[in-house]
Amino acid sequence: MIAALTRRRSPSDLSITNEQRFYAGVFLLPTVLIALGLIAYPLIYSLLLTVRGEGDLPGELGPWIGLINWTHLPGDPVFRQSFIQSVMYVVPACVAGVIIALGAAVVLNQDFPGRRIARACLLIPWALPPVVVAAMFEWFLDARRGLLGAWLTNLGITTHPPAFFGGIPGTLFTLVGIHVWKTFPLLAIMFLVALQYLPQETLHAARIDGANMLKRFRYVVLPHLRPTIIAAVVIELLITLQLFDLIYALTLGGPGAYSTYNLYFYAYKNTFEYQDFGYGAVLAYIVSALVIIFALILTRWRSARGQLVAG
Amino acid sequence: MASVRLDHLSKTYRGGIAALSDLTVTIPNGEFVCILGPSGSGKSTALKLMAGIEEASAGRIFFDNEDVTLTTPERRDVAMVFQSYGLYPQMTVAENIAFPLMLRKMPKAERATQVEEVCRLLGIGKLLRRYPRQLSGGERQRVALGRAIVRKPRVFLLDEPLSNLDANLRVSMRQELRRLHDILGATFIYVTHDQDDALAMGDRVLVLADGRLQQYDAATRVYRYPANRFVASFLGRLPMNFFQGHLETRGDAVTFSNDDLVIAVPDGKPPASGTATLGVRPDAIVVRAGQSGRDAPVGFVRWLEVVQPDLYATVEVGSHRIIAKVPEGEPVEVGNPAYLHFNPGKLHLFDPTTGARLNPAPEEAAPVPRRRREALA
Ligand SMILES: Nc1ncnc2c1ncn2[C@@H]1O[C@H](COP(=O)(O)OP(=O)(O)OP(=O)(O)O)[C@@H](O)[C@H]1O
Ligand SMILES: [Mg+2]
Repeated sequence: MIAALTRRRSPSDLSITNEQRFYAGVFLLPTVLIALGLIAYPLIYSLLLTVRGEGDLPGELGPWIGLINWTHLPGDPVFRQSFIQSVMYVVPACVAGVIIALGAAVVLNQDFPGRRIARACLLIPWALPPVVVAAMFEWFLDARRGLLGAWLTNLGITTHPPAFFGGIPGTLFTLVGIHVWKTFPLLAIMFLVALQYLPQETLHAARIDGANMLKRFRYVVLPHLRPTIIAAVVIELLITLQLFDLIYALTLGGPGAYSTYNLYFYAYKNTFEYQDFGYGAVLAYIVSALVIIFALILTRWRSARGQLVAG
Repeated sequence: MASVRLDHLSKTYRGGIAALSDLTVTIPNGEFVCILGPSGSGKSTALKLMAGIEEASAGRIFFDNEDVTLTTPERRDVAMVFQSYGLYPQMTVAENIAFPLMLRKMPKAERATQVEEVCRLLGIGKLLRRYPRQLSGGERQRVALGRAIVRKPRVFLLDEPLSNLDANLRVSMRQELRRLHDILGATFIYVTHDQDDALAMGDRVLVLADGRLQQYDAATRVYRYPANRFVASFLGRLPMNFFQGHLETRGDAVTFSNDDLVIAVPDGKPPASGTATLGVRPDAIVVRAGQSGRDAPVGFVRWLEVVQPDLYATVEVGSHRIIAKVPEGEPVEVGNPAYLHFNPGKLHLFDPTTGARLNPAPEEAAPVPRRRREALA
């Protein structure tokens, strides 16, 4: 947006005098210093952590050890498993999250009595602290006393209450489900906002052209929501890559040794439990790199498509 | 193709806003009818009711003899062109126009021929591969028209489709629309708040105000014989002059008079006496410089303005400020005395309380659609 604006301006609009430049520098200095302190310092420090050994205290820099922490990465089976499992978290979370959020938004966009209350309730999962969510689902999904298991058995769908936190890779998908439940309201709000701006005339035109409700959704609503869908995928992807609290509170990475690890959790384990700050920092860098790469790909794709699509 | 009959049609929006009240009209098959009225008068509402986008609160809608009041828009077989066109942004021009045909499951090859034909008719054959955002307003409008005519619907509904265009394009699009109507021979219902649009294109004009029908008459007649004071003041470039006064009948002659004016009203059999409002368009009053010889109203010129191609003067006569036309070459100047001559054939008398027309409008044969008129000539 800003880039577009500045590109359109002629250079003369942007030219400023030296005096102005001086004051601009003075005023920006505090911000720059704070930004350097808060971003650049930890960034450099963590990069140093990956190439220096253990110091006297945890997190302190030790002697130079070279790239051992980095070369260790490709051969580390837990890293590989965590990486694959990160994808197993992200893909279903994005697909399910976006579809559920879209459905919820479409329903809540209808005119029905009590929709204001329903819209307010929508936010509850997002507003609940993760620990509360975890406790709630631990109880709800408990293998022996859990409500959901009892319902499923009573309805005859299963013979025994399923062990939601017992299986591999079932437990991981249980976590995905809880995560989606907690995060879809955010996406649903985005869709609700976009639905407020549905082009009414186009919608009416489609009706008069003979489009039934499904066709109108497909040819008017969906194209209109496309940029929002992409934004929602990006956001859900980023949130899910950084999923930590549910794993920590519900499974601690189990059952089995690593079956619900993701990269983020593995980084935490290394850093704070094994106190291997160097390797933890390497893993943290990998997660950050993934976040940045996906964000860039999706936003690029979005703007390219957006230009084609936007009317 | 169909005639459209509205029978005591009303629409009250949620919150008790009466947008349309008790509208009863018949729009004959193949005519070009303009719905004219100020902003908020219920024009769009009337059109949406005919399209089925809004539900009628009362009354019925008939296409020919079929009652379509409860028919959904998908099944009404009308086409509508919207003010902001309502094109599908993700589709090309060709896809936009083909869309209604695609929904009707027409085979692809046949679709393509029809789209091509329509585009040729509208002169947009070169734009087929473009997206709506790559088009100018006039081009978008033609695409919207194309999407409407490709279906050969029973009725065309157009909601101010020209309002986004500049003056020149507007004039040429008016002609094109009219030409299109004449070629298709279909029923066109065209909503506008612009009297030039309505008078230029319409066979008939339906004037609305506050959701109520004011007049439904041939385009020429709404201007010449306004049915009430509202229509009289709404049409015309310059505001009509209105005077309060009395009517008197002496023998056969009817005279309108007040403190400043005495004007003979020849062409009317108004109630013999009583109060009345006299309405005269500026172009039915002629200003002459100097003092009058006879009993013409005399006053001073206060203001001169050009409304191309004519010059108009505002003349103060007693307590009235009267706008009147200055004949070419007449030496009328601000501050100088002048006298007025009222064209006796163009006087309108209205009831001062109801605003209804008092002097009868001359009867004429029912308006013949221009298309047929041309065919006859
Ligand atoms: N959806 C709606 N809900 C409530 N009131 C409405 C709605 N649509 C229109 N109205 C009201 O109904 C009246 C008529 O509206 P309508 O759109 O028919 O006017 P219009 O003659 O088309 O005006 P314009 O020339 O500005 O388009 C207005 O007072 C408007 O505020
Ligand atoms: Mg309107």
